[in-house]
Amino acid sequence: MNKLIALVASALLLVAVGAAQRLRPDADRVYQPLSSTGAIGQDVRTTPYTVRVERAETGRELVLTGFLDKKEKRATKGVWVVVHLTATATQERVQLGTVELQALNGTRYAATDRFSTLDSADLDAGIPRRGSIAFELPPDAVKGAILRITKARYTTIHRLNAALGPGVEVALGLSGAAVPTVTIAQEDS
Amino acid sequence: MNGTISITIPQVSSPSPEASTETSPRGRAWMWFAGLAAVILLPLAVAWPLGGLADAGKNEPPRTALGQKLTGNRFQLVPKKAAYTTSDPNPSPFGEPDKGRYVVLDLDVTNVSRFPASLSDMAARFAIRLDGKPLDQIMSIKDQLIMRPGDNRGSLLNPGMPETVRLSWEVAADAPDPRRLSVAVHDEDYQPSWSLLGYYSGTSLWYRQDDPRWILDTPLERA
Repeated sequence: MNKLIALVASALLLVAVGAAQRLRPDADRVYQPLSSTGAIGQDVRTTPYTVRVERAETGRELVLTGFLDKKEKRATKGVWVVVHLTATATQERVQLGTVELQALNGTRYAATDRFSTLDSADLDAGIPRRGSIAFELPPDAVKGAILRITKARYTTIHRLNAALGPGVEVALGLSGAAVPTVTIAQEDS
Repeated sequence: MNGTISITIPQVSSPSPEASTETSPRGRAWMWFAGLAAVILLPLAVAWPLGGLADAGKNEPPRTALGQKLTGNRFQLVPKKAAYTTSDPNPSPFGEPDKGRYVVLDLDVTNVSRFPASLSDMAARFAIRLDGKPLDQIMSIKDQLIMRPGDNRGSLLNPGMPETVRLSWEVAADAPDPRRLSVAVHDEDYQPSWSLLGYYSGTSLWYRQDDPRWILDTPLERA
């Protein structure tokens, strides 16, 4: 009888060990940034900066306003998503770093690098800076997309912020419907 | 004498089972050796007649041509045009165009992964040969461009966003005019990072496959 109990207990322990191995998060999850989350209109605070997303909009075409109010139209094979936000550095000069939209299926889209936006602008401590960031992505990826800001880029000191660094996550509440044109102002940076 | 007779019966001992099968130390060593040899040789004896020991050879990647769709783990590529030209493939809007001899490859590219990538991520997976001779891609690179009407800036390849890409290289001054372009395209795997040297986190990275997955082989048109 004791042998039977020992066998059953061993089998159960083996199953438990297997299940624990299966449920153990992989390294990508273990080392992901420690994100502060918020909603549109809320201040989301992290160590390097505070971010408040004011609104987000989707358009089939983008109008870029630049120096002396010069306007340029920018087409895309997908849609444009423009996020308007205010960012304030907390202690020292810093840039937002890696700014991405994450779709519901986990696919990530980087901010456009075709012109300068707030993601590459210097933020000075205690001085709020308003601006916008633009993304190009397939139309079916827009609905439910989340703004992710990670890997703050310090301009004075090199620091590694990739693993377990601070991050910001804001659900943009986009429906996926696109208006004909959205407008963004190019950053001087 | 007390009148008893003592008879000694010689004892006939029956052989013990151990004694009957016991082998000498030398015999045991031979048995071990034979057993080990059988274990090693048996798979070979089975594999040899079936061709298992024949040289598998190196699997040649398939040769592809312009217009063929090449879908890898990270990028989908459709090479559209390969040309040799003496005019600047990306003239600056300011100043004079560059003078030189160039090889230009135009292709449609779509990032089919779940993560953003850059144009240099894609181009780094190409090994270029002109008329069979390897090209130094670092020294001879002219441009890596995402082509859009009136706007060639940017190098971002977002997932699911098709782009038209132009890669161009400068032909060495002492080389003859090239006639044929060969591009060995290496695919990539997204897998946990590792290192033989010290600490590694195990977070996933893109790793280039050792062997090319396709070889684009095409004549160069004159442009």
